[in-house]
Amino acid sequence: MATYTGKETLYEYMKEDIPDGKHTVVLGANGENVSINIEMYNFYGNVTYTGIDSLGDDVDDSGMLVLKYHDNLTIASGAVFRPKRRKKGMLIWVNGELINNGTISMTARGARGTGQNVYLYKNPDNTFEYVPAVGGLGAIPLADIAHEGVSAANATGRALAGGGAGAARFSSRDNMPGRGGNATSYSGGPGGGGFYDIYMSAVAGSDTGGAGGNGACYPVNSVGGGGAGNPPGNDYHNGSSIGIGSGQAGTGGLLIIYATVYTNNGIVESRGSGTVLRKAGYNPQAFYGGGGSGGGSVNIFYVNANENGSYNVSGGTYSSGGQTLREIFRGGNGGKGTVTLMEIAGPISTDVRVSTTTPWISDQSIDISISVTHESNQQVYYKVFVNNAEIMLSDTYVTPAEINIIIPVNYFNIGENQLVVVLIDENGIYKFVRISIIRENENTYSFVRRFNHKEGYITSENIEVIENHGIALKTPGTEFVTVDLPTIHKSKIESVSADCISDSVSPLKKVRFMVLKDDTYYTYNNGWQEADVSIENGMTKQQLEAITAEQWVDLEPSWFLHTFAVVIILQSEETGVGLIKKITVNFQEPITVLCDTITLHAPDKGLRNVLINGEYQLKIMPGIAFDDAEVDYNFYTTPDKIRFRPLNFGQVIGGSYTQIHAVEVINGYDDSDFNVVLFASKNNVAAEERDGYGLLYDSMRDVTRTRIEFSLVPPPNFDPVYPLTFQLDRLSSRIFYVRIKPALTITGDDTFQIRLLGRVV
Amino acid sequence: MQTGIQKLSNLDAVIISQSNPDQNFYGESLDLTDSMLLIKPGFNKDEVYVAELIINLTLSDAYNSGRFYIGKIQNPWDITTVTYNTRPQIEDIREISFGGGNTFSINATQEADGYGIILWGGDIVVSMVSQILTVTPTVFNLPSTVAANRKVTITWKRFKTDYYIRRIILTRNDIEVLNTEDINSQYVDEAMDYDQTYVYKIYAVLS
Repeated sequence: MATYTGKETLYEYMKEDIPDGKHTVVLGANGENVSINIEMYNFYGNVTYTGIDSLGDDVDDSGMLVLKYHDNLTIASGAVFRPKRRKKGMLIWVNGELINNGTISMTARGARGTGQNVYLYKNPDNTFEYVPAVGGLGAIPLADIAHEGVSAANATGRALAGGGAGAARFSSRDNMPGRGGNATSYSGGPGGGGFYDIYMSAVAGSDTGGAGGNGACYPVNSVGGGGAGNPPGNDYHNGSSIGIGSGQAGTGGLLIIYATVYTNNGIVESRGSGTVLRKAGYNPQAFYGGGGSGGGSVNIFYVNANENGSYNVSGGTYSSGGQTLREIFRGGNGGKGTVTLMEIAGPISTDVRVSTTTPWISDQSIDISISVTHESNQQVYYKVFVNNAEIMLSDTYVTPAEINIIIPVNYFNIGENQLVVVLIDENGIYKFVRISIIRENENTYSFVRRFNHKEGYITSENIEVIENHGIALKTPGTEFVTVDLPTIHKSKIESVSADCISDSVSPLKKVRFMVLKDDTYYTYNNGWQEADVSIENGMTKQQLEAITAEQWVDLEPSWFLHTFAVVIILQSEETGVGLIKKITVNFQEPITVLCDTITLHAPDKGLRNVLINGEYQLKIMPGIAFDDAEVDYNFYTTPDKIRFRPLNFGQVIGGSYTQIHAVEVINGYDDSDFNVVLFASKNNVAAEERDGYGLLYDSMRDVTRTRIEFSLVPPPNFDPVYPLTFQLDRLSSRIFYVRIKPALTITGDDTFQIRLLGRVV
Repeated sequence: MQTGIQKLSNLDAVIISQSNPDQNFYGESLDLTDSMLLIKPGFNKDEVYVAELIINLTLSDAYNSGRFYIGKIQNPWDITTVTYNTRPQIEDIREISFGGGNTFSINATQEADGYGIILWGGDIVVSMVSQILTVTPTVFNLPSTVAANRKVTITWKRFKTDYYIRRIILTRNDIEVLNTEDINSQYVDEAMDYDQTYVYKIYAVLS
């Protein structure tokens, strides 16, 4: 345990390195020293919280729960980020980004104890943001008969709210319902007790975040309810306490968040507790409720915020729980607490310039220049993330520093990307620079320029670009911004729209538009007209947006042949005010046209379709083929030398002639005539040439060897010649005849080859 | 997706008459009785390829069915000066049928590559001539030889269009085989199988 002094605010202490444990920090501010006991926890690395009410120790009212996340904290959907027990505030510090997808809560976690001025943050004007020691006052009960309890007023500033007063069946000068308790810096006010008595008053809620007031009730058939608080007040019936039952435990508490980036997609709350109808006794007929406790105080400090969530700091209210009685007077509601979100400057300040946020296909990189300053001149380094993936980590820089970062466009997907440069100082405190990068390609038909950063095409020194506010002037006057439009792969323009201010006379503010085609400025006024670039000649937003697709085509039907730009003319007497945030150019999308269809048939082996006079005719391939003599293109061997099927001599008898078979030889060349020689071979050994026939070397004795005979003359005048020679002109065919007398020595299947030798004539 | 680019328009036409062979009847009634109707197509054939040309004749009255002749005009002519005696050369004459009624539609695609269309043979009076013209930026060249296991080069004619061609897509049996910004490229099919039919389609992505 240690005591830390010398700082004015919790914000300053949180930038220090305070170890885990229970410590005291002394806030020396506004001429007082405020000692606050803290229960400190440090978390390193990115943390995702998925629990419910699991934070801090098990001791009520022991001090402020301080949770310091040195990187990022995500609270998951369904999680409830709340202390286990009552605490004198819960402080969450996140160096990086706090993403709340669940519930951050100090509901019913207000603590008992005397309030203190809790100094949260010191403004640049030396004033303090603080939660006051005494918050909203509790509700004063009415001195009247038969009334519901008075509700507490809503709190103001950063205060917590007071408790509601009890209800009454009747009141007298001496006996009254209980007053609501006043709020402290750590607790909404507890509720006062409900009242129906002639001998005693109900009890007021505690003014130090303690108990709700006890009720008071003497009739046997009624109940005077206790107020909500820490703990709730007792219910009374028949002149005696019947214990806690109606009043609910808890008061709204103090919640403090510091985050560099605060993203709320869930609920942030610090609600007071209420009361419920309680039946008691032998003949329950009436209930006079105690008051609800006050709502808490939510204080959020951020450098960047993304707000999509909700807040609830309501005071406690009465609920019947679905029950009825003859008579019910409900207790007063606790007051509504406060929620304050405040943008603060982190220790790191930046001035960012980026070459382009819409890289086109011709861009190779995105160049970022960041001027960095630090309030304590600490060193910084940076990380670069593209779509949550870290792509760069730098060395350290001494501040002030000029940091130039070049990021190849290949890191970016087509479409929208999130580029984040995280600057980190020596204390680990982040500064986020977020840039939305839209990488375009030819399939993008909506070209959008968002003016969030000073990109390369904004050259005037008199122009500044304010994130989320657009282009503004630094000094009164007239300025021009030329936004080049893509033309490569772009179709005709469909429409153009602008997100800009409307004209104002006092102070003067105007935004006008012209179109720059190649080197000529145009404006549209019942037709396109050339004009000098000036505020007077420019079109208003309405005139620009009224130009139809047909009128854009009138300007230029062949968009891709030219260069185009939209010229934005800004005139303002007011400086630092965003004049235009965005301009959108919608292009006509391309159409896909079926131009032509053809059907091609690839014929069977050895054949081709040849285009003759615009039509395909079936032809054989170039080459010489052996074909069936009777059936066209029933090849034995195709022109392209594919052995398709054998010539089958069928059943043969050794020593006896076979039948004579006809074979067609086709010359498929359209440019060559051949002298053809046919001979036979077996196992690559040519047959022995004899007088009019060939003999295969398949037996020892001539009389038993296989004889091959060829003839150009068909039977019955078969006239064997060996080898057979003839002329085969281009694109012609010739039929020859063949028979064999097989060897006596061979049984079973056997083959030989008929070979063709062709010489070009 | 559309096939070709369709353009609708009314056309200029004139009659010439053998009985008044030296008279030009431009601007007068298109009465085909003993006359010939010359129609100027509504496109420049140097700029487009014609995928389909439908000539629609709106008739002055309902007529009975009949037969006509249509021919392709082979040389340039001037609609304001042409006469029967100076009529342009005609070829590819064919006979067409008219089913009767108030309108007469003729598929004149095969006459579209001439200098106009000539029609005669019926006793009708035409009140308006219009066209449904489908033009296309390119058409295939037919490969000189088609064979399996051989390189077959698929090419197409030079693009004619006043549109910007962003890219072309070639499909083979409806499977994309080429998708390129190089619109004058070609595709070599080396994988044709024996005795198979292949349908190629070429698409243009226009801006």
